[in-house]
Amino acid sequence: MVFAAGPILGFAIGWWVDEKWGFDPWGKTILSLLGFVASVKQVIDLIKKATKDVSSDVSEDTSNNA
Amino acid sequence: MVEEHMHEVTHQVAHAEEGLKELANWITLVNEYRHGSVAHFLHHWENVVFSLTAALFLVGISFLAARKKLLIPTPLQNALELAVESLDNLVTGIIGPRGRAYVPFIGTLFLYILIQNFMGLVPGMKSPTSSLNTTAALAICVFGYVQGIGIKENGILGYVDHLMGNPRDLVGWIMTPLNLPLHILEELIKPLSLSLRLFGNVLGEDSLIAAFVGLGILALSFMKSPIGLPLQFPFLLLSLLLGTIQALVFSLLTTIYISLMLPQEAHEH
Repeated sequence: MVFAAGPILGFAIGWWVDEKWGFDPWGKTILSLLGFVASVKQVIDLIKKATKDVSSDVSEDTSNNA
Repeated sequence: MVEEHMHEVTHQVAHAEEGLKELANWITLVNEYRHGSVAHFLHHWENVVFSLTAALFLVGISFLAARKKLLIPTPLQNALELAVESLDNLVTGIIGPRGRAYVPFIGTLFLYILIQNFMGLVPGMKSPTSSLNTTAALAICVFGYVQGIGIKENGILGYVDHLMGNPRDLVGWIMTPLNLPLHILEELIKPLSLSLRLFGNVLGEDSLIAAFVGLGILALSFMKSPIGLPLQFPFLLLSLLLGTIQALVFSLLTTIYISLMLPQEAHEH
């Protein structure tokens, strides 16, 4: 869902930018790409955060058992 | 005669599937048989009415459970204490002890979404979360709350610094023109993906149940049965599971978004 939301949002903002300042098609193109990059970065951040939480839980359990 | 009736029922089901993707609720019935302004108002604000019903239900349950706090709790008080404790553990497990401040918001969000998801399983009711308006409103609340926490915890300059990707060296500052729009887009993606995910999943479940209710009615229509086969039953159980998972995903992601917005030392232990 995040992967879809990024380019969609980028395209929508790009459309608005193109309409407002007449950059067509650069606004749509650049912001769609930026949206995709942002969504990839967000997924990586979420995975990093989730794995960090899991690994801290595992290390806590190990120290408790020891 | 039977063939004629079958054709009629098939036509009705097909027509229902074209126009309505979900089962009829009590407001649909009121609107069908009473054509007054009240019925029209209720039909127009259907999702708000059901959302308010969920909120009132939660308020009522909380009031009943917390009215008389006992050392040996009543089953209701016990259930609510268990829910609160589990949500507290969930949030503090991700954010750390400071996360307790955000438990009321995230906990309320979880319970509210859970009740709204389950409302679609009650005959005559509807899941308000199957409308993008409801899920977008919830996601906008989360967006505002997370940005508010970001400004409160980091200060305005710290918040802007966070959006620029915390540049500390020359390379960081050179990358700022790229990092700033990237981070702004990232923040805007969050409410969009949150709202679309919840809306899509709940609408999908409700449409599936409605489709199987239609099939169940169609299966017994040759004998003019007033009720249909309960073909939707397995999907009701699936909906219970998915409704809980979606509520959990929404609140878990909100917790992670808050955690990512907090200053580094606050959530790293």
